[in-house]
Amino acid sequence: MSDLTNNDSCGTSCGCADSTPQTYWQDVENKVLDPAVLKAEFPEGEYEAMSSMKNRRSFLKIMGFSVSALPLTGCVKIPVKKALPYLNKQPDTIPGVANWYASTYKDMPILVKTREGRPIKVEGNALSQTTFGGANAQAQASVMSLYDSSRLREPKVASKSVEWEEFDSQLKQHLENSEGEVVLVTPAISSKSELAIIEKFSKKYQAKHIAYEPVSKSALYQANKITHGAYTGAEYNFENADVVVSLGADFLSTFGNGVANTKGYSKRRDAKTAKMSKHIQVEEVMSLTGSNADHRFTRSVADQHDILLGVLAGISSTTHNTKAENKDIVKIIVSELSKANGRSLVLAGENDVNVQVVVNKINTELGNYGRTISVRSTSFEKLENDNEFESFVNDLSEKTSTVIFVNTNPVYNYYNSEKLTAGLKKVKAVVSLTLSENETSNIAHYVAPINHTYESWSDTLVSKSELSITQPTIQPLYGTRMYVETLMSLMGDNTSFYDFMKSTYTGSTSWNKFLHDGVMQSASLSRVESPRSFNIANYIKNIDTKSSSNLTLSLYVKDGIGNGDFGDNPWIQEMPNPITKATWGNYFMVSPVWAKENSVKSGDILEAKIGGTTIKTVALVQPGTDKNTVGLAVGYGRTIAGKTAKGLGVNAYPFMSASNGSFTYNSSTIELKKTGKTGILAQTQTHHSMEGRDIVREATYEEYMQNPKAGNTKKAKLFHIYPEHKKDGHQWAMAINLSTCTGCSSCIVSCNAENNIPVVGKEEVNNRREMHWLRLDRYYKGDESNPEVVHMPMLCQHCDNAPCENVCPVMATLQSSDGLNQQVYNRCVGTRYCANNCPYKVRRFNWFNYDRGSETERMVLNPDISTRTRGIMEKCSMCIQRIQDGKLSAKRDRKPLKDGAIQTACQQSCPSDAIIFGDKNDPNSKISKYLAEERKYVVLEDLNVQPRVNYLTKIRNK
Amino acid sequence: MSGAHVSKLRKPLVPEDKTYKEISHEILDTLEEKPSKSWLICFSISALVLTLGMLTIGYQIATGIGVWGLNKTIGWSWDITNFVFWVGIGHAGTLISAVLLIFRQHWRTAINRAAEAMTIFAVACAGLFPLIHAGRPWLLFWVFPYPNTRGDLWVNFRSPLLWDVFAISTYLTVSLVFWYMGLLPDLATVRDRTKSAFRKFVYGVLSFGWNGSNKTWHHFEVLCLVLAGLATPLVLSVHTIVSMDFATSVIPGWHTTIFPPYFVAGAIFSGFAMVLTLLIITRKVLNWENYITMGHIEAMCKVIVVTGMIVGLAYGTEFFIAWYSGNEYERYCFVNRATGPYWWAYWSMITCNVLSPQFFWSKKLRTNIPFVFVISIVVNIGMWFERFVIITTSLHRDFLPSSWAMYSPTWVEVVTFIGTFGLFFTLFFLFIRVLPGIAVAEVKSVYRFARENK
Repeated sequence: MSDLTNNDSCGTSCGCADSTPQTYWQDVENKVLDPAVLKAEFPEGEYEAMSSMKNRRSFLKIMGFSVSALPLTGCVKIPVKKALPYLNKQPDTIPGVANWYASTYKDMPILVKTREGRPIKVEGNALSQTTFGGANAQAQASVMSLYDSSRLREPKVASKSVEWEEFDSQLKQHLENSEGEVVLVTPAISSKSELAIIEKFSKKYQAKHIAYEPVSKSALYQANKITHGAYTGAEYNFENADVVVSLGADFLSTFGNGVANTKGYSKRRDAKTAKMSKHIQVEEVMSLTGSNADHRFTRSVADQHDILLGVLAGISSTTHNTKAENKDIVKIIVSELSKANGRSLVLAGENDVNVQVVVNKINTELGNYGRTISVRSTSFEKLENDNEFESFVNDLSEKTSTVIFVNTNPVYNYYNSEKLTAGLKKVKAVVSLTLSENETSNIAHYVAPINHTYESWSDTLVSKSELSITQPTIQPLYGTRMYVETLMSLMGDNTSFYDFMKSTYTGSTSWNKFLHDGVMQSASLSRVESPRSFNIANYIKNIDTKSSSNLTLSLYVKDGIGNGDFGDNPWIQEMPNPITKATWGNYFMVSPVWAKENSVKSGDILEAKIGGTTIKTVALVQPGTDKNTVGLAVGYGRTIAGKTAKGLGVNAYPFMSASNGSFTYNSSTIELKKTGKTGILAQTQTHHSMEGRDIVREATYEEYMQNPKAGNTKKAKLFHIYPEHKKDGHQWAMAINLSTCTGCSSCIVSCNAENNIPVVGKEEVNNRREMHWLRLDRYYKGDESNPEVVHMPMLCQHCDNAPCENVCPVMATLQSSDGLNQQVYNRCVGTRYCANNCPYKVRRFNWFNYDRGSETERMVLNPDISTRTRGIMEKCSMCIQRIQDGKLSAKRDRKPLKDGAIQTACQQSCPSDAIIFGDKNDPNSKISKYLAEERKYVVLEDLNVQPRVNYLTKIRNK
Repeated sequence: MSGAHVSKLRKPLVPEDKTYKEISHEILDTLEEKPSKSWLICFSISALVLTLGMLTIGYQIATGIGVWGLNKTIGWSWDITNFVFWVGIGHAGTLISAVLLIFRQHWRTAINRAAEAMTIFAVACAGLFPLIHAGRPWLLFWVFPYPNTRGDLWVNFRSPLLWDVFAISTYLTVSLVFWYMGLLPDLATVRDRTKSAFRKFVYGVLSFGWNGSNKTWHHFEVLCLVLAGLATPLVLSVHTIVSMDFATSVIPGWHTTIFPPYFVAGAIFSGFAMVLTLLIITRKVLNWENYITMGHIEAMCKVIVVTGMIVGLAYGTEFFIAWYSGNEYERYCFVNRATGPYWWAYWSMITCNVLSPQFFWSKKLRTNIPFVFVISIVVNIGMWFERFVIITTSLHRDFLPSSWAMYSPTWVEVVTFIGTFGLFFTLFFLFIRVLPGIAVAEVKSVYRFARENK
């Protein structure tokens, strides 16, 4: 026995530690320690259990095991694992320890977690003064896109793969020798260094640089140019806004910097910590933002115009004759706004310059500029300009020498794709620098791959005063190159972009600090413009308030998929839409009223006639949709794309148009007809009413101010037959604030990435088998045409009296001593009894061995977590690997575990800080304070399952 | 017992006058003849269905439970429905042989052998489902508490599924032993009658050297009584424990204290229906009308009426308690059963189980063989629906409406279920081919009943 202890080779729980001091010892290290010391080495009770086994039985056990195990090892075929040891230790790489790199994803400063050199997880950068550590679902999912096996791997000329040198020399030759205009089409860029390279390129080849975004905010920039003199976006400070009025602006998700907006907005949505803001939303289809509004009104776009002008008239000297049905709304908005001068915010989502000018006028009248909204002076950004792109398309001719598309795909997402394609055919050379082959690269002569963000360098202006660095976290996976380096190479410049970029940060700015922190605050950048005077009447008269009795198609941007860039990302495709809960595709969103009149049900395939085009897709009856509006998400219907996006949904872009110098997304008249066929929507939730059950508790702000326990007075009478278990040490608990949760679903994708949750695909989601450990339940209340909405994150509740635990015949699910309900994958035989007996239905079963993708795609898997095979139950573990990591770090540092040192993945990613996790035995922890709140309750309390996940009541300011 | 005085009003249990030799011939000759054409056809069809079922199960195990129609909300449906259905059918055998033996119901002698065999085959079919419903069936031996090298890892004695393992395996063992012991004197008769050396050898071994001595008979009688005593509580325990799979959970519609008696009554109900179905066919095919008489059929019809009404009462009680409890989830669950998307399953169950047996109040109807045959099948359909209603409609809409879902079976589940009928009938046809389908010795023992004047 002592041999086993000493040579430390005993891998079983054989109880070979001896409690009595040994008489003999070999050396100081192996001298058996004092039992008290030994006892402290093991978790509570373990040591006693082990030391009580030093008897004949345990001897026989070990002997039996040894005798049987030894020959068995000879029978087992040991799989060959393709792992190479480091012959020389990599600097900065310790196997099993994560390295974090500060970087940027779109407009979000982030940290990228890498393990053994592989980026596996994205988290918000807490040092950022813009997003304060928030990151949205796209950022969370972006690591998956990095490993996408459909990425382009090498340059091509005329569809033939070539070496980079060959590509460069051919294209360079063409650029130098060919007469005519060179056009560079990029997405909106706000990187100083990138723009500097582009400028050099433009100079060398007299190239014209156009920024193009299929989902454009060009009208907003134009309006700012008119009212403030700067062609740029606006930044909003929701934290200072007492009243927020949004006309169709989905500001928590797709309008502006959704994460930054959510951060500020949510600070004013917790009635406990701040005076609650009032949010009024008027929109034609239900958006994520609309679902969070205190007052939401379903109105067509024309009615929104009417209301906008009514509001302007209400607060300024203009006049407007508001329609009778909108008078009440205008009255409410005006009365709220007039109470909050300088502390309000009015937004409109429409890409129409007249509307945006009027909105700016209203904000000016209310004195909001400088307080809740600011327009930065343009310093270095190239923002999309629909006008420029329109004229680019019109001007395409034989005179154009070269068009270079950088990471843009207008052949797919420009509304008049035919005209563009015809124009491009006349061009001498079309170049596409792209992540993966798409509709545009398909017609390009020169196609070259670009790096993913996580393989690139850049510096991005994320707000008026903050720069955020993008640094590579991995060597390029394939033979790709940053587009700026391609441009440099075409100019004959063979230096690296990194050197160029670094050289611009000299003098007072510390490059190393920038690299370390990821963000840099710069006062010099933060100049803002103040409003100028202009004649508003010109803009008012161009706004059309006439309601149409025809059905109108309203194109909208779906959270996650965005403009379609994320089509090839399976995590995003499988993320349920926060409102419709549908996955994998787009659909006609119709109002319940229209559906009833035309006896259409969700799932019916409808045929739509829009202009001269006919498309067919499935219908979804969406409460809160205007009765004359049909919603359709852009970003689907790809014809040339990776395996995930290809052929999914229908392309809505052709139904855009251009007017007033900007792209319009809601002007087409649509005729819908039933086909008699049905299709699948793959919704993760199909029942949308709470059935009057006590699941989400809510109260109004007024009630809450009078009594903090408002809406939370029900208390179940509970008793225990058995004495309660001892609950010493850490006792983990979670609280979820329903008031601040917006339903953005970032947590779902974050959980996917952290816990290796498999993607099951459209068919399987439709079979109700999605594997998400964390889901967002969305319930409607009240009127069908304009319901109130609640979002409720639902995950394993880690019950103290867990009903799943006692029904498992093999004890594969147990309570840990720190209060977690644990699932032992190895032990699970898959009876599914636990899932049946779970009142919250949060357990997920591996119905098949799910496809984890190609070898490259599997690199995204978190090595701390096993991938579950088929026949096994799984569920939220409260990120046990993070808890373990946090505990071990504290132990290594010989310091008590600090509150907040352990963050679950969902908590970390939450842009509204609605999830709190911690040790409830620590009286000073944040969680203890939340648990003591009057708003705290647990779901299904009367079952006496004693959940560890608590909820705070939802407060509405109405 | 044959010599005891019996009222002249009683009718003989074997209506026609025969010699003991004739009885032996009529029952046992079939074992030595070449199989009849009708037997061959029936057996081939059964074996074919069984093969299809086994291939389907193989496909399912190779691919994953995903080939079934289950989902995140409904973790059990046809699998456990079929399990409970077959366990229920397996109830009549023990009841007839053990309980009726203890109560000295002599009429049982003609049907107990077949009923016991049916029990064993039904339990075999039932046992298949817990095995294949597991996600990793190859690890299911973990549910047995055997000494192992996994340290503290042991089975969970709090889990009703574990109780099931014990209940079903005990029931199967006792039923098997009881059935086999009962076969011994008849096996010896076959051994003594046959002229084939091979048969003589096989039946010789099977009959354990039965020599027909007084002592042997004495041991036999005592053993039967002891086994009957052991088996009687099992009639109650098996389905009680099966019902606890549901009753000990927290799911509305499952979490019900009425389940044990309700399930036991239901099991007897369905078991008797199945015995009727089988014996009506067998007595016709093997010309055993003299042994399995109208009296038997009537008696079983009466049991069906009684148990059917107990089940009906249970349905009503459930509804009443759901309302009386004041628990909104409970109330919703029952309203949903009757009026929700699975209303048709509920009303099929009520029609088949509560209404259809009422016809048996009429003597005219319960002596009409084709009618009884139809009702016996209707009752079994109804009892299958009962389990489907309990399992699926309770699960599909429980506490949080966000997770409410629908279920429909895939072809795999349907073929697997049909396959278990293949298994059942294959075993049954083999049984009547190679073993005495009626307990010859016991029939002879009651032959003289009400016949002492002759």
